Amino acid sequence: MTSEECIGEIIEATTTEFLAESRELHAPPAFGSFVKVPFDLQQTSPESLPTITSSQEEKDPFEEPWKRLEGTFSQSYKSLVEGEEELQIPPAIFGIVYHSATMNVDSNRRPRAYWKDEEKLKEEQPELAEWLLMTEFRAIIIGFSENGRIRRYLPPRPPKIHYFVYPCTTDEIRAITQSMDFLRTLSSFRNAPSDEVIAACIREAARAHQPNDFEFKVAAGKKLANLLKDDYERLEAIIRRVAP
Amino acid sequence: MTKSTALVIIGKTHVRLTFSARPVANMLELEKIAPAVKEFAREKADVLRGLGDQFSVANRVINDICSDVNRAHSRIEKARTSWLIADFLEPLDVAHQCPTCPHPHAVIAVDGSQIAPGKHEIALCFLINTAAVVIYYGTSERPYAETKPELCYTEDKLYEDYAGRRVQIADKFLGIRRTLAESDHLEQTLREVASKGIPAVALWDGSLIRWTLESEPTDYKNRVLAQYLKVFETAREKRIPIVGYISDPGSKDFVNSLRIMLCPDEQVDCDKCGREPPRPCDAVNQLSDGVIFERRLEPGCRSALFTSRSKILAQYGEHEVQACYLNLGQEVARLEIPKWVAEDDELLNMVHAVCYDQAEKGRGYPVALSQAHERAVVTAKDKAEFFELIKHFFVKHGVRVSHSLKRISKGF
Repeated sequence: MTSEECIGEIIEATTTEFLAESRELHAPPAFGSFVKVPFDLQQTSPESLPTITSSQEEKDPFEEPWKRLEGTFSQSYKSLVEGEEELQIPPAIFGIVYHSATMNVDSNRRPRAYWKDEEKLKEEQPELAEWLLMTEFRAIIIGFSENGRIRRYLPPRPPKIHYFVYPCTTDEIRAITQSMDFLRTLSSFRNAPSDEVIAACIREAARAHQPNDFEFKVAAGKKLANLLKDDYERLEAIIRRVAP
Repeated sequence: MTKSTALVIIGKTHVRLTFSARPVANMLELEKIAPAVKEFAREKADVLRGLGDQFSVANRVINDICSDVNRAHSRIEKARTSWLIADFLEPLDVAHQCPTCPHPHAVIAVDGSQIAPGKHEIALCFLINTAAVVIYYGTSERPYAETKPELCYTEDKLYEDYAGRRVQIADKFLGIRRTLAESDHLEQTLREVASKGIPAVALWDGSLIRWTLESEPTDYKNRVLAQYLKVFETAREKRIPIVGYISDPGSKDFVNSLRIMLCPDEQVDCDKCGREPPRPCDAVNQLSDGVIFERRLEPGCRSALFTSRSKILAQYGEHEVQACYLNLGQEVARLEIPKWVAEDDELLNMVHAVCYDQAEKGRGYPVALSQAHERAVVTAKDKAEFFELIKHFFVKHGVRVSHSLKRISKGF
C-alpha cells in the first residue's frame, strides 16, 4: 500500500482521539502504527462566525522567543520547540492506532457463524463484507503539523468527521519521533493497553529510523526510564516487548 | 367522571376541596379482552388438532385427481365459486427436485416503502423510497445497492386523475404509486445487470398479481397496468425472470380446487349449494396451500405450477402470472412467475434453484430481498426526521409552520 492511499474515514472525533471506519474489512492499520489526518487548522473556523483580530502593533505573547535571542538557546531546545525546519510537513493531525474492532454494521445485531471457510464465505455471502460487517480503529492524537512544523501537543480542535485517514510516511514518523514526547502522552493514556501500545509504536518508529534503529530504541528506553522511574516493573515489561 | 376530595391546609385554615378528576387515559386494557383471547387460543388448538384429518382428506383427493386428471381439469374449469381457485399445469404427484444454481449468476431484488401524506403534518407531501440491490455470485463483481427516495409535493404528484375526478393521493393510490416506483427502479436495474451478460433472477417482495386493481375504473386501471407491465416486457427481452416471492403464504387457491373435487354436485356452483355447514367441501377448509406442500414436499423441492383465476390477469397478456410452492425447510414460499418464465425450462429451473439458494444463504429468507428491505424501510425515527427536515427548511425560507391542534394534543 502506498502512503497516498487512504485507509479510513473519521466517524467520531474528540480532543484526544478519533475513531475511523477502516476502508478494508479486517485490514485496519497495525496496532501501534502512526496515522495522519490531513487537516488545515487555519481553515477550521467557520466563516460566518466573527473572528478576533488583533492590531499589527500589538505584541504577540507567543512570539517565538529564540528569534530575538538567536544563539542563546541550544540547538536541541530549538528543534524541540520549533520542529524540524528543513522538513516541510503538510498540515495534518497525527495519531497512534491503539484499538481496532470488526463487528456488525448494525450494533443491535450480532454476526452468526456460517461454518464456511474464508474463500467459500467470500463467494457465497458477498453481502457480509460489503454491507453487514465493518472494521473500525481508534487512534490517540499525539500532535499535529502547522506551518510545516511538528507540534507535539494536542491540536486546538479535533479533526473533522468524515475526513480521511492516511498512514504516515517514513519521513513523517522520523520527524514526529525526533523528540520522545509521544511516549509521555502514551504512558499516561488509560483507555488502552498502554504498555503494549508504547512497545508497538517504538518498534514501528524504530523501523522508520533504520539503520539507526538501535540508537532510537536506546533513546526511547532512556526516555521511558525517566517517565517510569517510579514503576520499574512496567518499564521492564515495555523494554522486554521492544527488545529484538 | 369521578369526584375526588382533598384536604388542604392553608395557614391555620383547613379547606376541603372537591374536584372532578378526569379519569387517567388508559392504554389498551388487555384484561378486558383476556377471556376472548383464551377462547381464540382454544379454537385455534382445536383447528390444529383437526389438521391431520384434513390433510389425510386432501391427500386422498390429490390421489383421486391424479388418477383422472381430465375429469379434475374439467370440474375445476366449469366450477362457479366465490373463492379463487387454481388449476394445475403439471402432475400433482411429482415433486420437482432442486436444480443447481447457474455459475456465475446475479440476484436482483427490489422493495419499497413510503411516508404517507398526513393531514395533521406541517405540509401536504409524501415520500416514496425504493431500494434495488444486486448481488453477484461467482464473479468478482461487487454487490450493488441503490435507494431512490422521492419527495412528492407538487400538484401533479399529489393528485390522481381518477374516474374523471382529481383525487388526492392517499392509502390505496399511494400503495399503487409505490408499486410503480418499484417497477421503474427494477426495470432500470434489470437493464444494468443485463449489460453484464450474467444469468440473473429478479426477486420482488410479495405478489405479482395486482388484484386490487380489478375494481378500479378502466382508464385508471389501464394506465397503471401499462406502466406496471413495462418491467415485465424488459425482463422478457433480457431473459431475466421476475419472481414474486411470498414468504409464509396464506393463499388457499389450491385448497379451493380440492374443495371443488369434494363437492357432491356434478356441476359445482356455490350460489346454488344451499347446504348448511359442515358441507362436504369443509373437510379441507382449515388447510392452506402452504400447509399442504410443507407436508408433501421435501426441502428444496417445488410443487407443480398453478394458474390463478384472478380477473386482473386477463390483462397481463404474455405476462400472465403462474405460481408454485417451494419448500425451504423452515417454511414454504409461494413463487409467482410470468407465463414466459414458466414455459421456459431453463428459466424456471434457475428461479427454483436461485430462490432456494437465496433462502438458504439468508437463513430462511432470500438475502437479496432482506437487503433490499433494509434499505427501503422507513422507520418511525426516519419519518420524524423527515418532517423535522421539512420544518427546518420551511423556517429557513420564512414559510409559516403550524401544526393542527389535533397533532399538538397528541403531544407531537
